[in-house]
Amino acid sequence: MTAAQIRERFAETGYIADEDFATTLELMLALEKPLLVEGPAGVGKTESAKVLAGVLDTRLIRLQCYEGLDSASALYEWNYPKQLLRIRLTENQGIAVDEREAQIFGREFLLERPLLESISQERAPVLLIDEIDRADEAFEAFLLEVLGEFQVTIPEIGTLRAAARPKVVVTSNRTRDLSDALRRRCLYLWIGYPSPEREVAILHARLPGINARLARQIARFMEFLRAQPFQRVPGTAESLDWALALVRLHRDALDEATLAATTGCILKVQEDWELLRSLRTQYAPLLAPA
Amino acid sequence: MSDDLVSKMVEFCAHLRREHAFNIGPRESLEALKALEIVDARERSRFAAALRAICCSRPEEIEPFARAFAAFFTSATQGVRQPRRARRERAESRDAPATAEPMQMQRHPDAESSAQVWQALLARYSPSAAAHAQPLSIPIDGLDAARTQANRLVRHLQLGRSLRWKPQPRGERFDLRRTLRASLRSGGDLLEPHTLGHPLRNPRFVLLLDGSRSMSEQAPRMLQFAYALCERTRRARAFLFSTQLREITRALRDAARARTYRLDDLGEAWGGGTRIGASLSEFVREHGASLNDQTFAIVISDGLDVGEIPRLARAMREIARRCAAVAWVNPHAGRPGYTPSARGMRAALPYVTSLISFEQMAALTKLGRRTRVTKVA
Repeated sequence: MTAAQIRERFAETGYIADEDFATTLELMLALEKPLLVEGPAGVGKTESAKVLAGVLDTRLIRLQCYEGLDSASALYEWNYPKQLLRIRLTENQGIAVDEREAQIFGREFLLERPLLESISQERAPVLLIDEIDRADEAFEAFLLEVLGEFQVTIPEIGTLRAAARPKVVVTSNRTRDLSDALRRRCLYLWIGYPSPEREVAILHARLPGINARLARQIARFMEFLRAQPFQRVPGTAESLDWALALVRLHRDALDEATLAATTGCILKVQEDWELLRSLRTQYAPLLAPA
Repeated sequence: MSDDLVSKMVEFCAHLRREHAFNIGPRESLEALKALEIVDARERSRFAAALRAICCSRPEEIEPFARAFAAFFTSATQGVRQPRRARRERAESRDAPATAEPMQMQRHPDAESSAQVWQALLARYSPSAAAHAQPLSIPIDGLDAARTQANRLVRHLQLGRSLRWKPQPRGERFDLRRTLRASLRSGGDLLEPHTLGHPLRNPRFVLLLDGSRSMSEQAPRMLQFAYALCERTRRARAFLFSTQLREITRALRDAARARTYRLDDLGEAWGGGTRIGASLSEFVREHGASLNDQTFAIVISDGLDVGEIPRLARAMREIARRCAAVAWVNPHAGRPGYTPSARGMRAALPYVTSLISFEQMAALTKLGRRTRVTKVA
């Protein structure tokens, strides 16, 4: 799939992809390498993987990372109740230990978790490893085998290789530095905040009925907000929420009262609200006269 | 694909590795060549995007990449002379400070009066003053003591238990996997229960070092400690600030690996005026997400801020809110009759878990011990 096709297909689903993004995806599909996407929160990192699965018409398998995530939750787990039951049922059949072990450690007793599931698909799925920075270093090291070779070693069964290489998208919010080894195994893409023009395009793509003037105002206002030292800088997700709220409220322009009523859509920390209030003279020109 | 373009591409990758310390090797060069088959080199912006995806692996690399790309591929047909010249110029400018006297830490050995410090700070406030391109050396004398301190801190600081389940002899949860495996030996009877428990948490360290002129007397000790800590554990990050903030973790690790004991290219993060508030705000904005309840933040500064004090308080509140504990190491704190009277220090104090001195190296042991006490209690 070429970059132009990617942009077109993404646009059909309402995801406005720029040239860098599309070229990187094209390269990722051609080189069959995982893609590491970094960027601030709420700029569409996770969404990009979801849309990619839709565009490729394949399954999306998602692994949400968190602190304490281990291979039992990410890779596989044995179905212990089933194993116990089998041991009990075959207790008096006088089977040798080796044979019993082979019985209860077969594929039918294996519970597949996202990573194993993604390499045992007939048709290459999109594997989204979301917020890898939340998992610890030990898990990251463990991921290297999967991402480098697309194979998984289960001591009781052996090494399983991917029938079709999954398209892997790894996202990170940079809450900690990832290892060089992981970075080197991936292509790299940085998604920043969109320019006002792109933000307008995104708003129109996601909310087809939106008033053009309102969309422009929102984009300009968001650009202003992102230049301020807020604790939680609003991303594209927030501007979409906000735009949706304004459309539902039947507003076709931004004014002071509307902003006050809907601040909760864009700023989620009380100190940020205070800061916004103190910036009133600066943002006033961005608002339409009431 | 023309041979010219291929050799240029290989040279480009080598240039990034050599001049900008990109973590790339033959595999990346090969992939860059493959990318040429996919993306037409004449489509400049797409070509740049493709190479960026392959060569860069962190946001800080994007800007040097763009500069190098512009120098190498100004036009798809141009030769490689221009970047060569640029490289030679850069190499010359890099060599210059190396042949000159390496900058010593004790550039101001005589204790300056606070008025002088103030004057100097104000004079250095101008953003154009960048006379500190020289590498900064970490004195080897006393490094072992710093290593002992760092080691003690890493070993003794405790921040509770991790959320991860690990096999433990007297854990609180049943480990079905191991129990079941053991039961095979007894024909399916669960005779040997195995358990899982939460292992102790490994704290992360964030060091925020004041690199302004007023701290120059304490700088050797401060840098030695940062160096020793980054060498000791991968779970430490160090930031240096003066009028700007810069992460020096990688530089310290590289120095540790190569045993050069030198930090290059610190720019405005070293030897200028003090803008603690602005620098810490920048830290919170850029790296705030990396702080969590396992993080132990250590600020080493005298608290003399010529910038906005409310900004300092805001940043400190945010750091304290996100971290397990914040220690402030103030070089003056050990003096008899010391009261935290500097405006910056007063603003930061409510958010500091413990304010300690940096007069002797022993102060750092105190730091480890104090924090341990507060965390256990």
